[in-house]
Amino acid sequence: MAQDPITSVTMARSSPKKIEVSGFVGGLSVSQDLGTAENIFQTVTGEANNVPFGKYLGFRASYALTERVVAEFNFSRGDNTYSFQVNDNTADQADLGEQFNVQQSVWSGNIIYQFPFEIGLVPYGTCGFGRLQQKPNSPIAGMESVTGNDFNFGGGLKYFLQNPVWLGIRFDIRYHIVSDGLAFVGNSADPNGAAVTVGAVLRFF
Amino acid sequence: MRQKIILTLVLLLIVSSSSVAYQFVEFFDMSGRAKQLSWASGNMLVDFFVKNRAVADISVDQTVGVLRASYETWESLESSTIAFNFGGITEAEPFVMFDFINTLGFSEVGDPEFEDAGVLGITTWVFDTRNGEIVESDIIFNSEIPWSVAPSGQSGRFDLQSVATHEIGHFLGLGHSATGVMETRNFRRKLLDGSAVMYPFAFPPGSVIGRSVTSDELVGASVLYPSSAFSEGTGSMSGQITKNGQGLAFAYVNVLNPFTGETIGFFADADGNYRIEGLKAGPYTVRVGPIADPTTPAHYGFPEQLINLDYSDAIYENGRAEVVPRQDTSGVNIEVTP
Repeated sequence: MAQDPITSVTMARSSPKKIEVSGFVGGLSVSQDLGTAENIFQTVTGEANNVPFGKYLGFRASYALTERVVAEFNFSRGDNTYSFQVNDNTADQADLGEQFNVQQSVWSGNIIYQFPFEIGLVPYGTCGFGRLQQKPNSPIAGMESVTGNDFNFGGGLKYFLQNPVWLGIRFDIRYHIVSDGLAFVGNSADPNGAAVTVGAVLRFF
Repeated sequence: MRQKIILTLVLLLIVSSSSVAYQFVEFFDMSGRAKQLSWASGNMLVDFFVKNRAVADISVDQTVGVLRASYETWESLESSTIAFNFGGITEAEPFVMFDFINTLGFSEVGDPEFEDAGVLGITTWVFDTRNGEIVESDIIFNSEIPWSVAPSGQSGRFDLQSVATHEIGHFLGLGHSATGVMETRNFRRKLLDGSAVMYPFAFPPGSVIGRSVTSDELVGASVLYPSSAFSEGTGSMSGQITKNGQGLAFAYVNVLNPFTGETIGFFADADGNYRIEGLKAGPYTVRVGPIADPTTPAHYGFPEQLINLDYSDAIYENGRAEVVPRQDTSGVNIEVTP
């Protein structure tokens, strides 16, 4: 029996595929205090600078456990830049911008709870747990890299095209809370901040 | 056989006002090139002897124990290879040069040279003027000073181990450091914690802070007697300090690595050029300043007439100062203003 093509597309939308992969770009704006270091002449504080959009990229792969519950793996990488503020006892104070860069890598496993609509929109909420590694681009003695536990939560929106049905776009925003990161001697760091990404999604099966 | 050997005397510590990047003891050879004093690289086990002279409340055995502890402080630096051997108690006098016995001990009680001199200790060297190799070094402590060998220090008395640690730094070939701040309170000056052990003035009576070396001395000793790991794992920073576009002679450059906490200082040369070696990898803040009161150019062996102290402390703000192992980070230049 011949089948109405419109009905066929509608059925495809209403039955989410099991597997999705996506690549994305965006920005990871981590706020991080490096702490304070001092000697008899000056006190130095350090902090992360915001990262412009486009310096953060990665990929995700997911498997739909049910129509609404999805398990996802995420890997992403971005650069971060740090500045110093120097409060000298006798010389003027100084803000020293962009004193060094680090590469930040995130591995996480996420759970997505999604609400697929027949028109192709799939809003979702998500949370995940993983690791965030900060690795200086130029070496820092004793700190080849620092890795902390990463808890993230947020939400987003996927939209799948009518044709081809396996292609969509995805907008995602999430907040990262990390247990450890680069810090001045005697200090500890707890990087946190938002990641905003957009990318393409492919779905299969 | 050594053809040219000369004697050098340096006053090291002064009591009355009661601060390294590191600084080497240098001399100019016959061709006018600056050379550093150091023990021969092939002889890293240096003998020392202790004079058999007791002073009030301090026995010879106590003196030996304190001096051995001070040498151990320097010997225990993992990044430096120099080591010492206690040769025994000797009849030899410190300050009697060319006996080729490295003698440490107290001055003779009542020696007019030390009465009211305000000097805690003096280190002398005999060295080969061709290459700067030290062949003898003596240290003499002023017996007119109230000393303490108490483990935790003693109020009103200078800690012999702290002063010995400073003097042994000179014994190694280190000069005075300008990394120090003297605070004046109740009409009395006090060297603040965090100042370098090689600062020309001592920590106040009762203090034992000077028993431990700071990053400044650690790097200085390691540059003179480097372990292979130190040579492989460190880099240098260089630049020029200028005023009105002209090199500023003997300006004091101080760097801080906030990730390691290391504070290292170094004097620029007569043209304002500097190069600090032995820096661990990482970003640094850099500042420059004139020699600060109460020290004078003479404390660092610089000619007064060449020193311009008429400028303000300044911070390097023109880019990054990141050190990479086995490389020189050049161009860290600072222009100062009055």
